[in-house]
Amino acid sequence: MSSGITCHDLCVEFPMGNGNRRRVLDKINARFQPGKITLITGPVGAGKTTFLNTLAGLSRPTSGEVIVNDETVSRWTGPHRERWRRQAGIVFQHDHLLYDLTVLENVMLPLIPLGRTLSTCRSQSMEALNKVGLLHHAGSLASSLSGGERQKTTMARAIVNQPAFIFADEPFAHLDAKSSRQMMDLLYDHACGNAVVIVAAHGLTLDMLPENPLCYRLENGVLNPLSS
Amino acid sequence: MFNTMQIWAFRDLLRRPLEALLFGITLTVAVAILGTLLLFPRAVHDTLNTLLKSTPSIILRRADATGFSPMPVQTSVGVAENVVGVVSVRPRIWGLVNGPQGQLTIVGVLKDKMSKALADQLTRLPDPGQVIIGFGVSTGLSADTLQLEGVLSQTYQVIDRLPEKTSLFTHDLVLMDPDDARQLIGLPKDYASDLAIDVFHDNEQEAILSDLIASFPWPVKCVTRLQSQGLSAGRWNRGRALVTIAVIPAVLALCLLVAVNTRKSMGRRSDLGIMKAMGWTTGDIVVFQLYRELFVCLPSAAVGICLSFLLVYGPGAGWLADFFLGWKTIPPSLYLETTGAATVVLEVTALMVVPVIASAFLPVLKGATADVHGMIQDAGGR
Repeated sequence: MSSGITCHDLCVEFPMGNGNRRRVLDKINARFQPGKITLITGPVGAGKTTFLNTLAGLSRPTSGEVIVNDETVSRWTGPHRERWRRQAGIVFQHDHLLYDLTVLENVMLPLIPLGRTLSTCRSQSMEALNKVGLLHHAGSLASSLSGGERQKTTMARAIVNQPAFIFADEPFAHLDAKSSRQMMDLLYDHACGNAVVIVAAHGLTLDMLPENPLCYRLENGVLNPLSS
Repeated sequence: MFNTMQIWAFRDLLRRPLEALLFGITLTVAVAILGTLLLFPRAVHDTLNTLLKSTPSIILRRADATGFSPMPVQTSVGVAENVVGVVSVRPRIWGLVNGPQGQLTIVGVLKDKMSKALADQLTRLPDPGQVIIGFGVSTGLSADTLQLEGVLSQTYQVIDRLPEKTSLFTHDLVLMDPDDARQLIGLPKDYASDLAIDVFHDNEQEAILSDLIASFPWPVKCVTRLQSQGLSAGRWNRGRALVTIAVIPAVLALCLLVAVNTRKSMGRRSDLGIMKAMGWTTGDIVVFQLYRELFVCLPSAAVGICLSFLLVYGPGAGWLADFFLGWKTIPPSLYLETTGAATVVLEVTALMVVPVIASAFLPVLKGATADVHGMIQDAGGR
């Protein structure tokens, strides 16, 4: 049973090149529970991507802690975090697909190191592609897809392993309203399956909001809860 | 047969099939060249050593002012047999004559005085008018007869050929009846060209030389097996020096291959970052990279080594012997001991295959402690 993700006094600073450092995240304290979608909004450059990357263990915080299921993940060494990341599905702001692989193969990528048979990986990936409505593109090269289709492919790749944690960074940026709604429903379904789902997006409309979301606004490195 | 990771590694190669194919071909050629350069001297060394082991302990010849002269068989054998330490003495009849395509060495086969090594190779002995020829002896237009020109010119019937594996020593050899041989080289009856003397132990070769020389009533000159081995090694040094020089471009080619593979692998750093973000551990990536490289390197190394074996031992590989040793006729056949072959395979693997495979691991090792986000960001920079 997942007890969610907690961050405690989380700070991230980047060197600016002139000897100074820019604080992107400033002592963030928050708790993200399973079973609910957490939405993080904020202006461009607010640090949403950095926040998600730090939560997902893709980069380390400058100070503070990320605690997952009562384990301080941010203090773990690389190999331990790598193993933990198998429980996470990540949707990047830029799709980060392997363009010379097919759509199906891109979706299969998280399943390969798990020791499952190729046919199992294939069928699980086809199922994920079916959920995002890209089954007909399974054999196409990722490079041949449109921006929206690529975004759907990254969504399929993120959910294929039924992860306990989903980190989605601007997952609707290239999608029309209908597709955005579909993807939000998909994320909501996963949240209902007791997954921790954190979505960062800077331009969400009301009709896209899922049922009973937790909303935060990140601005100037500070995360504040928004009332619904 | 193959697990998912192996299939995935093979699929990954097919993302750039032409690049993988070209890399494989280049590696194959480099391994073949290096393998040939390592294999050839070892093959010559092994063949020489094996054959020299079956040569007599001491060769004794009668010397005079003009060089060497025939020696009376009965007297010479009697004197040599009386020297303490000598186990056996065999008179030998041999000389150089002209064949259809250059000089040949003729040997008169004395039925009861043959060396065991030679006796083991022969299924029958030549009668008068018959010859058994070495692997490299050309009979000219006729396959069944051989015309030889010494003191007189005579045509002989070819009844057999000596085994190919002995050809480093029997390459230009013509075995014939001893009386035929004497006639051809102008040797008087009951005279021999030299004596082949065997001693009980190798250490005694040098020890009994002074006694042996002193016991003969005429000046003699002796060559021991150890001296012959030294002479062979000395003659081969030139070839070995050439081989060493030829290794330099092969090693440069290896450096280039490693550099290309390292650069290619570094270009995949963002791919590896994406894989890590998708839950691949450093261990998974190491295994994946290992399979990926092995799919190219193993077949390339295997084909390359087979090619080098073919180049050294295969028929029609005369250019190699011609290039390194100056053998102009049909090249002598070389053979290799099992340990020699294994050593060459290990040397090629250590010199070629291991560095190439290792070069693919550089981005993995660099990425082991790097932030995954930083690795992925490289994609933007590409």
